[in-house]
Amino acid sequence: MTPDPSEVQALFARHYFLFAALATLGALQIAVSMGGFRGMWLLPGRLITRFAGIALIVAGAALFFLMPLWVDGPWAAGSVEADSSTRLWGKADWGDLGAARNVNDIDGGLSGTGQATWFPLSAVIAVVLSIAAGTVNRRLFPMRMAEEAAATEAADADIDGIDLLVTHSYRSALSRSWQRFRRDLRADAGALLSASDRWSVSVWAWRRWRS
Amino acid sequence: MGLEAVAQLNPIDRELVIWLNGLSGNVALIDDLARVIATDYLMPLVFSLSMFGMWFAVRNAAERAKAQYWVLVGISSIGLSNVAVVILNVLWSRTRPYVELDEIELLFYRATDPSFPANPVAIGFAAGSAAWVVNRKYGYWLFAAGLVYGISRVYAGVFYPTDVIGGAAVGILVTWGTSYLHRLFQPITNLFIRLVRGMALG
Repeated sequence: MTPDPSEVQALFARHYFLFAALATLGALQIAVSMGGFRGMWLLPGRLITRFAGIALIVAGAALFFLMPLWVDGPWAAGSVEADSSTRLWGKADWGDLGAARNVNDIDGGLSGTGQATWFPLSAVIAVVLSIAAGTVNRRLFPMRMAEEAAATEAADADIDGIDLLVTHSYRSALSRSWQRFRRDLRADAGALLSASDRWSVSVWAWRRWRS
Repeated sequence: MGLEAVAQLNPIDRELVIWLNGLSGNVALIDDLARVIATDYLMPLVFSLSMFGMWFAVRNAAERAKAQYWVLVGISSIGLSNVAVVILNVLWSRTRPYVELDEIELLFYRATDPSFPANPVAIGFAAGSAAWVVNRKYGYWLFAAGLVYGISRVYAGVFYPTDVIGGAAVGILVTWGTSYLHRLFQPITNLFIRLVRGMALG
């Protein structure tokens, strides 16, 4: 039976979302371990967090490309040829695996627009999961003394934003950062406006509004 | 004029795509690897992840603000590269190599849109150009990834080499243009970064 493109698209969207969610979580873990933002680490150590990030990306890719072996889709063994419109529904075998995912979007493959929808959603989920894991980590594995000292120092220092996640949980970092953002918004906006190019549309609109 | 110059390269282009695609069918593992790299999902996700990771990876606050600005330029460039490719497709509807050349053994699905310029390569080079401004080495890695993506599609018989070169040029030029476009809308971009910093994520 020739697959229905809408059914194929729904299948591809589910699989792509799983792939993107694992890969974005992995990329985020590598990035925050490089930045030292402990409040978003999945695991307590920097190195182990980085390895977990790499493992998540590899797992996401492996799952996405190997799934046709055990999940029914438009890749039935023997029907996987270059032309994606003549495929049959079923499970792939090892020989078909390389080409199984190459389905034109008019035959149900996920278009660029579809990917552009699912990717940001997976990025948001990765950030939320990382914040939750970072919070649990901080409770389960209290910071070492040197880091505690740095945290106290940071409390008085002139820092905000993601920099606070080096020594603070997301909750306290958010509270301090948001307060500072609200307090400094006027001054920051003014400074940024005066630092903008003269031909900036915003500067032009600002000048017109003032005159 | 520029597109005619590309058309003049057709004989070399044809020979190159026939030669590269002619290497397929010998080692099944290499063919499968090319199919996986050429797929619509793997490399575009790599380019998106590269921008996502760049947002968080820098420790120094001033350098991070620069990196985050260029992430926004990169994301906009990826979108605008697609628009540029559609416009160029309208100007020159170049036929795919597997349609024109009998010698081609197609390893990919039959794409219905024009061949020039290579859209996926444009996206890779747009992300790579934005990354290159922040970190040269990182940018070169992304350029290499974009190039491998393009070569895999030539190997699969869906692009000519000049489509790949054209895609790379579109990606770089659009990113360059987008950086000016962002300056036109300043300080909105930096205010957005400031807002995300207020949410402890920037």
